[in-house]
Amino acid sequence: MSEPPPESGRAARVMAALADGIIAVDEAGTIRICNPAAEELLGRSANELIGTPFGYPVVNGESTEIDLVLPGGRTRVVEMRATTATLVGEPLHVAALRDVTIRHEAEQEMEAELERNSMVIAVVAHEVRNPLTGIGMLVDMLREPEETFTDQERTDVLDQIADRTSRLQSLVKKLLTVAKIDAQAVRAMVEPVPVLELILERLAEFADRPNVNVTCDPHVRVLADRSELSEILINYLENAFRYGAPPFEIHVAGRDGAVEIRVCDHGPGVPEAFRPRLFERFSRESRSRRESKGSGLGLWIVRSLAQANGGEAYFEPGDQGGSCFCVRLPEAPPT
Amino acid sequence: MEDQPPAALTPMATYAFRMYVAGRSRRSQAAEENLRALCDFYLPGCHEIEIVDATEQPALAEEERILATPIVIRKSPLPGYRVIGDLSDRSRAAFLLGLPDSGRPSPEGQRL
Repeated sequence: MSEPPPESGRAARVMAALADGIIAVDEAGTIRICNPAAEELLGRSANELIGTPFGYPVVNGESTEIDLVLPGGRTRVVEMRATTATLVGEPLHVAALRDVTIRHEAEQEMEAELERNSMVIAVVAHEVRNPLTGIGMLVDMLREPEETFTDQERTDVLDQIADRTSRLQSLVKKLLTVAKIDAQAVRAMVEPVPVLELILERLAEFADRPNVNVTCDPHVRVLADRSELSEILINYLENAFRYGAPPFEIHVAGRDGAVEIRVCDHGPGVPEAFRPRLFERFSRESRSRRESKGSGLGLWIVRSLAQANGGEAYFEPGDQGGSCFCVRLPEAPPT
Repeated sequence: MEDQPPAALTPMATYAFRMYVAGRSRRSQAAEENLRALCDFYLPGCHEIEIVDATEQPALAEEERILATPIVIRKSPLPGYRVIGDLSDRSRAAFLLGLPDSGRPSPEGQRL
């Protein structure tokens, strides 16, 4: 009972939440007995607690919620039950304290998870159904025995099938990344990554892409997970090509130990009202052409990956209209 | 001594209470309402209540070694009894705060 409190932290709090904190006070309301769970809940050692005035716990009914005042003024909500006991003939008032902060957090997390799951189903159903329906119709056309296609027409139809298939592959990849982030399985393998080299590699992967002007010192390197930085760039570029308009530009600049990569376009930009929610999960601008495209996952993935790499992702409106999607990552020291 | 009023007419000592709450939550408000109601019942016209938000005045809460809220402290007359909870069990709270006549049952039909 007189041991110092275990090291604080979520694990210790969870352990404390499993056991009730017990505080027993005497007839003067002074703490006589406390257990390790109470030490953890109150953030104080038994040495500090025993002899301190606590007060008589009074509960109407089975239990009541109270706030514990922690050192430094923070508070923690606990459920209190009260009873009386006798120790060697001396009456004691006993308060049993149970952390409900973790329970409240768990309930909120569960509600958010349920909401996310139902949104995942809705988004996936919408995003998968449309290209699949299109693929089915195009395949039926090609199979139609009475239809005769020129080589060019056949190529066009196959290109459309390939485009829809690629959209589905991209969506599946995004969903896998989301699952990894949700499972907190994103473990950034940080290494110095030459930024220009990576940008050129990614641009090369976009077939029939429009021209992109790149401004980047070839010696600039960031400290990041290479594959995750690739994913960030791909999401930004897909976004620019899908919603923006040329000219497309990528600017890279190092400043104050960080490197900022800006992917800019000269399209219609993002309405001001939508900007605060731009990087939220499943956020999609409504009542616009964005409504029918995009999973609403790309920018959320970008921000999650940027933060996992010790950086940040953000939006800035372009100087002359359009959009700049930016990511800032730690700069690698020079070799 | 002969100037003193008869004992039956001696005015009741003024009771002073300080209640610590944490923010303006529903339970803080309920505790304050319950304290005012039980004081109006047991100590009509001779009580003072001070409400302190422990989150706004952490130094004062620390000085008084407040470990939990809502808590009411009887500041005077001493001893400084303390009761923790929302005081919805008003008669038990009054008893533990040592209010006069708090052992008596509530008058018929009168709600605390």
